[in-house]
Amino acid sequence: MSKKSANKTEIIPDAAYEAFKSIVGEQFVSTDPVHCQAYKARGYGREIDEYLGYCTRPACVILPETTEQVVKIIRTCNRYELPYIPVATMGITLTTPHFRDDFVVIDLKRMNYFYIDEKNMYAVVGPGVLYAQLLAECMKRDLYTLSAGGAQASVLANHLVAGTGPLTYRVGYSDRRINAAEWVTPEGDVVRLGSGVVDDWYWQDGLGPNLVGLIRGDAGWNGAMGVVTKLSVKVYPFQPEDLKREGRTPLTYTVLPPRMRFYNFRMPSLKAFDQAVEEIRNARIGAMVERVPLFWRTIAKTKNKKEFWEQWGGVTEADVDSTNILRVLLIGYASMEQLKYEENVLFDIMKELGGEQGRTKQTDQSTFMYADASSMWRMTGGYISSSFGIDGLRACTETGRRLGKRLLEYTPPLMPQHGDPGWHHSVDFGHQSYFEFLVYMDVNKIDPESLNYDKKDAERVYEWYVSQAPAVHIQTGFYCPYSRGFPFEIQAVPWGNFTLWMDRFKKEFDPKGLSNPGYPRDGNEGYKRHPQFVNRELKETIASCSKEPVSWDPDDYPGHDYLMVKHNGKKRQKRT
Amino acid sequence: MTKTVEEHLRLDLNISNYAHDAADCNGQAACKYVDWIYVTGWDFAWRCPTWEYHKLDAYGAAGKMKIVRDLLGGRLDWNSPTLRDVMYDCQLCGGCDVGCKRNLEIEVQMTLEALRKKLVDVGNGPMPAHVEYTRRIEQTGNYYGLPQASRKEWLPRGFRPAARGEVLWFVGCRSGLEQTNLARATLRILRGAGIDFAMLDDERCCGNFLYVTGQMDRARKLAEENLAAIKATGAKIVIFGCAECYKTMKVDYAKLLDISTSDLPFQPLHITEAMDIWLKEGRLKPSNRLDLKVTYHDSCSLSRMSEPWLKWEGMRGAWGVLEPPRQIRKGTNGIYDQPRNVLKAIPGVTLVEMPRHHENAYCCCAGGGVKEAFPDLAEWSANERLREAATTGAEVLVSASPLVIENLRNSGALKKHRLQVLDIVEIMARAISK
Repeated sequence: MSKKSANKTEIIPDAAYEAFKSIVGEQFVSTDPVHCQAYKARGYGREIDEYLGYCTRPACVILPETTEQVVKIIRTCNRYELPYIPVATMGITLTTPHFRDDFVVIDLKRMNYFYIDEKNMYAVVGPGVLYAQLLAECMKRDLYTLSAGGAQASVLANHLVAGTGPLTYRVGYSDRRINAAEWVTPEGDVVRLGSGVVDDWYWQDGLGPNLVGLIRGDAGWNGAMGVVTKLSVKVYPFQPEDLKREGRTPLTYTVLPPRMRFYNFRMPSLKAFDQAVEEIRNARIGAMVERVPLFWRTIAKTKNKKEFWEQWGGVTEADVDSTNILRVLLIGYASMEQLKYEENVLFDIMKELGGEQGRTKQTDQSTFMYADASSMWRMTGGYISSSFGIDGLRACTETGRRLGKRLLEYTPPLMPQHGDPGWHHSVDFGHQSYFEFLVYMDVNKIDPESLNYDKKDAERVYEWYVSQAPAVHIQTGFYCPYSRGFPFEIQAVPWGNFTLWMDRFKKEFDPKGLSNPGYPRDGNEGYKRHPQFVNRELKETIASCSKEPVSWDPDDYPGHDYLMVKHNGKKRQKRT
Repeated sequence: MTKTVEEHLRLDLNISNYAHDAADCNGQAACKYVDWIYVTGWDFAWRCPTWEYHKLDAYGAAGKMKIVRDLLGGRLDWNSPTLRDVMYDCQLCGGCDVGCKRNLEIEVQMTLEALRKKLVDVGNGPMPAHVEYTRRIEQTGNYYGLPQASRKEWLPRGFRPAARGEVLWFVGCRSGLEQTNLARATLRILRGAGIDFAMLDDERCCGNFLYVTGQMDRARKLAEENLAAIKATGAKIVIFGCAECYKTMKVDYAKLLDISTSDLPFQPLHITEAMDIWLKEGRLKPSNRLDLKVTYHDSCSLSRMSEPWLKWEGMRGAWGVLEPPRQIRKGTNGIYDQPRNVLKAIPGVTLVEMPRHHENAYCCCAGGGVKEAFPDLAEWSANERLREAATTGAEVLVSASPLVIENLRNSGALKKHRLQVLDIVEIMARAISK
């Protein structure tokens, strides 16, 4: 099946290819362009990465089955100085742009080890296990977790970054749920982290300092710090009854059992919404507390793209302003009495704040199994999550409010949102809030291969993503992980010197810069290629944070290959 | 923002009409896994056997859509041998299409079918193993290359079917020539229900094999000849025992001839649909108690792939909105309930579902030209399906497709799992036999 293609010999040396074959067998390694094309990165923001030429086809794909094989692959990559990028399921590809065309994709889907300890409430997974699988296994045991990033996301990969969803209200961010990890460093050493140090996958610390922080984070390393091959994650007690599965495609859903109930309240203002979130937090009730953008509700109510545009076309700013829907899930984890108590408290809060209860179906397709996540692409064919992250409630709502208003200036080419302040949900029993702001574009306008490609429209979309949203984040103090459009070093100006320490760790563990080369300096490369997307407002906003003048000369910043070794004194030959 | 130039499109077998679909794939894997609502655990979560077997993403629909984008963009070679292997090592079971369309409006199945046509057009298809079967169908009129005269050898002595009538029974190559016990069982059911039916004097292959291997011109010629032959019988209803013949005439003929299913000169009816009707009408009375615990395998052609074809031509405008609106075939209205109703109507039969059922059923990989060119995948997938069936505790795995029955019965895992594989007509024939 897998053959070495003649036009790749100059990229993957014969000796390296033979080594790969001996590690995983001929069936599980390929340099054929057809096989490799399937690994060209897509996923969130794919339109930007691909249409700007930031996505390249890998030179090789290899599929290990064991940690020992991963070790050998990484050591081979180091020996032959081949850059590599690990991917788990490719269900969501956040592994940053791939500027190079000489890298090896390490596809980890065969590593789908699964073990669940129901008594001690943790699961140990390999990278190939999906949330849908973990959640289904949990529910058989009266346990649950959050399908952060969607049912199709790799449990392991998603726990290494800040996987989120409304159920974080009770179970917290996914990167805080890691007990232990088995990690293959960028140079091919196996390290156990957390309680894995003592070969006990049960809790979060082992002997000595806990080094889990080396591999996880809000944005994480995006594949730039070796490969995590096994992870122990917490799972949580649930109510005991089944979520009955019903319906035929496309209308499939689970039916909530009696001890679970959804509630929708129309709040009179965004301020009342914030107060309600705080009161629910103070009362220590609820399983989920969120606000969804109005266009999501429209997607949910419409059967197809045309219906969406017919309904959405009639929406106004006034409609959005008056539609602050607070969506709450209550679960009687212990009993029906618990549900009844929490419902009474919730109704008291709503009475006080003027929340008007609306109808809601007691079925679910978005909260547990995330079966409808893809429908977010339906109405336009593409979107960018231009803002996402954790902060205090006020910072989240203020950032959303400002972004909503600013978006009006970019509409069109971006889809009209009529000032909608975005998606919020409460995290860790209300200690923090999560905020995400999605912007939608007509992909035909930004796809260079489309009949309707429009360079000006495309550049306006990129400007929003690269400059406008980050400028607002800095102005409100809302922390949002890295940008692909301006230098990493400049990103440190408003946020502190985290970049120095990331560099030090990167150089220590990956001195040849082979693990997802470029990251975290993708922004440097993006800026070198497209400096025009950085607008004046962003430059002025950043300048206001610095006592020293900030240089915007792209040559002042190392590019994405700053750590990469030069092969025989020169870069590898590019594929024609 | 510039005005959108409307793009003219046809839902047909021209690959260039699917450039937008290929670009729109978001890679979220619904093509590869069971509808997330119906995932029941770590095991049996996969929907696409080809991808599960090969593991490389090129074998999953999301990977194929990326490949199509670069093919259409001139960045991959249409004559690549790997491309041919990847695109033909797929059973075209429609699982990816239905999975994707739960949320999106991407024509995955049509993209894959149009791709095979293009591969044939450029001389990079079909597979070498397909050539002999093509010759047989064209020269002898049937898949097996047997004399056409042997098609009716299984008929009871002295039984002479009518050549004309309102109801026509299209037997199919597999039942008529190879698994004749299925044809005999179907005959017993038709007679048991008191149906006056006709049969074609010189029935020929439906062309399913030609269609799925991308040989559309050959398939179209056969379709025209078969439709003319059926029309000559005066049939208003055609009953099929074979799921592949049923889907080919109901759906693929319409695609080949650029019409909708409703434009066909007859109503296609699968034997399971017919039995369901006859049971409700009281014409069919299964009286023998069988005392069997069975599980039902939805054959792809009868279930998610069998929705009527709807011809569409129009424009794609701003935000990708189609005008006139296109009714998307999502697999919702396939033949799912009828075979289950039939089984439940038989005294003593207990029906239990496998983890993957209805539109999420796992294909056995007999179709799409896979059995002929990639028998390793066909056997592996059949073994997987039997393993799944065994978890239900059923004694019998029932399906409604001679192609599927043949593949499952040839599986090496059959003995291991102590399962019996039966076509639904065999069960019903037992239930009504005196």
